[in-house]
Amino acid sequence: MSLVTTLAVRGLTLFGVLMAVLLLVVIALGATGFSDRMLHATISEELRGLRQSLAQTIRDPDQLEQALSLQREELIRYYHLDKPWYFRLPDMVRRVLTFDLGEARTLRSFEGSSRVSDIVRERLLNTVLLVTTASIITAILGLLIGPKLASQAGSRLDRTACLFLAFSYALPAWWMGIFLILAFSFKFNLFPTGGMYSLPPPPGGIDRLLDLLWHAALPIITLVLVSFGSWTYIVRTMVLNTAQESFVSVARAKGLPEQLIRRRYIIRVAAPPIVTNLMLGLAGSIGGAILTETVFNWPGMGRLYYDAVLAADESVIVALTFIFTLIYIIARFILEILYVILDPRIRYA
Amino acid sequence: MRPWETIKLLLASATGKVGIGLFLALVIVSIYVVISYPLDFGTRIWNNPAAWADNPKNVPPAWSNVFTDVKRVEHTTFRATKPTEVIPAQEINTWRYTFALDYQFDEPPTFTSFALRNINYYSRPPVITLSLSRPDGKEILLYRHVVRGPDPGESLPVSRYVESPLRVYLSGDNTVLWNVADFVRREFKLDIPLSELRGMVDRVMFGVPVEDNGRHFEVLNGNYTIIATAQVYHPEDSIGEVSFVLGGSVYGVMGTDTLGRDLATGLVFGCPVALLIGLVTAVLTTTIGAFMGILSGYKGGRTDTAIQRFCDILANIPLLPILIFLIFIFGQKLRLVILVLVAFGWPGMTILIRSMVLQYRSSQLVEATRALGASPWRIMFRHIFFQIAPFVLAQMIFFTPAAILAEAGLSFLGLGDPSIPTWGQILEHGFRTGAVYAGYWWWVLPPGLLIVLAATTFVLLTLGMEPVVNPRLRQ
Amino acid sequence: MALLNVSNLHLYYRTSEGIVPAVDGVSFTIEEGEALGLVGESGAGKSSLALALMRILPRNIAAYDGIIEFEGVNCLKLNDEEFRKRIRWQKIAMVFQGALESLNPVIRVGHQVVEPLLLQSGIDRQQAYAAAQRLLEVVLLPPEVFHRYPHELSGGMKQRAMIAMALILSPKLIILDEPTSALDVMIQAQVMNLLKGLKRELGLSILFISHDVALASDICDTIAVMYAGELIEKGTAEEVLTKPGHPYTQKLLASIPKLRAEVTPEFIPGAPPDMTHLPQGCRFYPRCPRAFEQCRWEHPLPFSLNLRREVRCWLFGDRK
Repeated sequence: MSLVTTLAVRGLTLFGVLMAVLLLVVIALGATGFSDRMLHATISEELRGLRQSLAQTIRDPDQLEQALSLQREELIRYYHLDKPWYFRLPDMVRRVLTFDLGEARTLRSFEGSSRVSDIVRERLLNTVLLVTTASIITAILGLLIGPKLASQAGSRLDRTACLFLAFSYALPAWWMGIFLILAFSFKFNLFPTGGMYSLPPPPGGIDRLLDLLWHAALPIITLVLVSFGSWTYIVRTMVLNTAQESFVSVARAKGLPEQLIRRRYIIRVAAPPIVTNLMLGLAGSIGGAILTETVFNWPGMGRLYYDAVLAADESVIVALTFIFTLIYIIARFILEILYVILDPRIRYA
Repeated sequence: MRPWETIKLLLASATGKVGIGLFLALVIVSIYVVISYPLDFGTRIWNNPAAWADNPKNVPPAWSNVFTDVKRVEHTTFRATKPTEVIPAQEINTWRYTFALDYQFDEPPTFTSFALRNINYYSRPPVITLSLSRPDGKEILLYRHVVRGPDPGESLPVSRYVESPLRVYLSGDNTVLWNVADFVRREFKLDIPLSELRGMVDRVMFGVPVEDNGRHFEVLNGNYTIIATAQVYHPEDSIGEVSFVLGGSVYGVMGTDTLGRDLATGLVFGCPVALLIGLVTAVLTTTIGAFMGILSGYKGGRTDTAIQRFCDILANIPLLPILIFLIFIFGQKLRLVILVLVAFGWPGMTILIRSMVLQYRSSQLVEATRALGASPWRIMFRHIFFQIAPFVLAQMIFFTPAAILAEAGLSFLGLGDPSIPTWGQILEHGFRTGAVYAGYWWWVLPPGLLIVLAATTFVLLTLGMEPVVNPRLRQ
Repeated sequence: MALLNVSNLHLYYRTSEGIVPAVDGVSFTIEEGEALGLVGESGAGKSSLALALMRILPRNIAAYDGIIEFEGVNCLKLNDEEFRKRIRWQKIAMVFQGALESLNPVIRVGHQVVEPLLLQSGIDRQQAYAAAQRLLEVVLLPPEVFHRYPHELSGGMKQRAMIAMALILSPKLIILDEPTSALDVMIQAQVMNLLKGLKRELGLSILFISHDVALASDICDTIAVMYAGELIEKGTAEEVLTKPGHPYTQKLLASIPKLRAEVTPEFIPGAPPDMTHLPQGCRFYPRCPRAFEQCRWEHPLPFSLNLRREVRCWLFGDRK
């Protein structure tokens, strides 16, 4: 059952990452006084609402003020604001872990809710849509082109291709997006400059879908252009290295058809290190998503992060930092599982 | 491999040659910047709107004129610290400053302005006049100004316009307006009401009326001379600087942004900054990472496991969200960015190095050295490090663009260090003020291109180093 | 008719220093049930010859011609596909040098063994698996090896699995390239016994490549000595070992340490020639203790001493 132990260890480590990030966030907030400010702001919000309702029953202004200051003290005790910040640590951790993410200060969801979880939930799907499509296209391109290049390693085609791939690695996603907007939106007017749907969005079915695709085209192209370079290069190099191994010659000697060799002896064996490299590039795609959504005004979580930073909305920033880490960890874990499935050598370590 | 061999290998391939060429170019530009720009360029000049007050806003570079039919006006600034000629007389010396201008543009200037700096006088205040001599022989007296006399209690010499210059915006000044109306009446026999003339001052200065109604002025090409005279009453009086600005619709090498900043200076300044960020981060990360990797791989046992677990956790933390968060909390400082990049970057290196070290640890060379009685430290650093040195170097080069791109991404989100302009910040400014949607390509494309260029330099160098790292590819 | 008849086989590589004639005009035959030992130093061209027979050619070949007749079929006349389908692994199989890297690390051992069999048309899967399982038994591997991954096997086990893998399509000829060089002596003995048993019971023809003459003599009926791309001596094992003709063979045999004799093993001075700049005459000339003038200028032809005996040396030719 070493398979389970291996995975369990990985899972535990990743959970450790989550905890480390959480602690980092919480401690940073506490030590700099941010969390105090946040809580004070929350209390003020609550008191304001309370004032409204109390004002209807208590007519005497002095009595009203007294009731409110009593309530304020209550709340301060409730939120432990009277104690130093590290006292609140366990509570904060618990709340974040149970996804009790609090309220946004200025940002609102599309329907007007100020609860962070509502805001995030709306946008999660948009980001997933963008990033997943781009990732799938990139993956397919890499897996198609990489082996072709590997089989002609050293040729002029290979060397020129590698140059382009290197160039693609150096491209910042957001600049690529800007460039594309300038070129295709501004100059040639082929695509919209941003947003997810036209305003107003077309009513139903096919029209709406087409509109979505039209808007999604440039951001997806940007994401693909930027990540496809290093990915293809990695596939090419891994395949190249594997193709030079002895067991590939042996497979040929066995009279196996070339197709089979490519599939089972080269790509299948190169898969684990490719997956490893996928894992390493994962963090980058989160960054890429944030920046690309910002450039294209795509209402996803990345854009939300940008807006939150601009508006200095603490609760959203904290919540999103945590959620991004969480997503990253889940994705990593899935890749780890994939790796273990693909490579029997580490199962019995 | 010896260092010399590595360089030779790099030069052998085309990729390596281009990479080294670009790298040298970046280094040369950086050295130039370090020598000629002040250290506080960011805060004192770049972010200071006063420094760019004379520049046109949001205009494309001068050379874009080549591609358009209409020759737009090139923004030009004339400055003089000494008069072109001095006409002595009894009590009054007349200092004459002349600026020659060959006006070959198809449009009138967008504005004109005139400035005086740093005047000191001992007796009577100087009298300054400004006139324009045109190719058709006509001359317009534009402006006359008497420097303010001494205030009660003010000691000689009296200083004027030292902290802030006297700047006259000719296009909107009432005195100039009167003078120009006068000129038009006298020379062209035209009576244009002041209200109409108000927006046409520059067009009149640099044009001739078209027959039909005289309201329309065509640009007059030819040699103009801008003449400023100062009547100076004391031999020790001094005028620091006289300047005249011809407002253009194109400017300089790279155009200007919303604040009128010369983008070329900003972009050039960004070069050493980018190099610094990239190289410092890469060197620190690689050094720490390699050290920890060797330690972990060689020592083994509990040290190894501890370091491994620690690195595992750190290496798995997604960089950008954390970076954003920390900058948000602790403030926008470049040092912090580098610190965070290094702090979260070295574990990745450690993991790589460690696996290499594990291979070498059981090699015969190491066994033999150990048998000879060498101390573990010596083995680690003299022998093992020597073996993996080329790989470490390749990783260092490979890591540089990542750091540059990370900083650029941060700046783009508006989290850059405002006291040090970087390419990412220039881009961010453009994006935020809508330059993209307005089509200001000169603002938006070059910073990105430069970032790409810098990053590509290092990627090419890494590609060139591939044969060093992967011996199977050596020819 | 001989099972395998190789005549004037050439395999040249193109390298950055020039053309390397790795196999330069090699001719020999192998009968059914015969074991031919191919011995020589590293770099003599033995592995290249094996690859030439299996038609596993690298990308940088400069020449590949001659006659390879297997059961009467001229293999070089077949195109790649035909060769792959009809000859490779079915008629001639190979056990590669370095078993440690020769197995696919992500596929179970048994599946790798049975793989070629499954590709044959009209084969029942169950029967195929059973056949593979049987072969594993034949090579004395425990049955659970079928489901193991290569990294779980020891060196000797991997080597035996490779032998099983070579036998799956019941080839007539099996080429073994240094089959025991990575193994310790005890395992080596086991593998050699196994091979001898297979030869005896299956009537298997073997091409046994090794730098270890003593080892080859254990199993081989005939021995061919290779030097600088050429066969310089051929003959029955007994003849070659007891009465070596070519000076190189003599030196080679003299270099083997003898356990019970008081003789210091000799060594052969000098080094094998640079294959891109071969001398005009005999390739062994610079190192030969019995060389003379003709050897320097004229390339020696193979001279037959008797039916199965050939030596490529002017000592046995007509002196001019």
